[in-house]
Amino acid sequence: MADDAHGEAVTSLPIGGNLSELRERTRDFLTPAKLGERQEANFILAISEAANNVLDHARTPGVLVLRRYADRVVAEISDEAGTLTDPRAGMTAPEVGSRRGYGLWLMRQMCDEVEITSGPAGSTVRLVMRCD
Amino acid sequence: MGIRLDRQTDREGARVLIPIGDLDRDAVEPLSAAVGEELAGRPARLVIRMTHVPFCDSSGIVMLLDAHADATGRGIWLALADVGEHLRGLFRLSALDRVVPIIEEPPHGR
Repeated sequence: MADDAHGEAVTSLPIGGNLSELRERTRDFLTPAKLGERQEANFILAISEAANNVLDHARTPGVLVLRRYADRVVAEISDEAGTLTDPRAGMTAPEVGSRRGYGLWLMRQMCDEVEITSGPAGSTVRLVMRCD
Repeated sequence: MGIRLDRQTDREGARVLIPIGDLDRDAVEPLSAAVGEELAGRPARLVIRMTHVPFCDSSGIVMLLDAHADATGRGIWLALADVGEHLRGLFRLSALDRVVPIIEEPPHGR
């Protein structure tokens, strides 16, 4: 982890099998950020959902890059498979009782910004939460 | 660390499952298995007490919907109890609370 003079920091975490450890390490990284309790919980849920997508669909290594700024935190979840190609995925709520379609919908509900990008190198979901 | 499970029978005779830990993809299998075991015992009511579940994601939501459908199919009433504020918000957003009953347990029932 690198911390510069402005309090900005970045860390990179592999998305492996155990998401509770990933959430724990994410929580540790977010502690210095000025997020409210609910914001932090929402951001961690969104990150966990993005990691779920990598584990469910990509079947290739994924990585979570976390960036902490004075006024916001950013999470970039990337995988090499590039299965996520629709930039507008998750815009509509799943039907009541649906067994799928919650991941991206929840990410969009939880975060201030959600951006999906894909290309030859894979897919990235970028989540932004602004500090209060 | 994986999810742990306690089990009780409450004063009204309902079976109570008490998961302890995060309800994420790794918890789905053990919790589903426990629900299956409880339903096989054919209780009239099965309560999943969420007191010690600080985190739930879409895997947990789908697991709870499946558990409710399984119970209902066998004529067994299944509800969630003691759902914290954050999870309540999540269950409202995902409309889980329009399918699965969420109840308040009387404090003496514990």
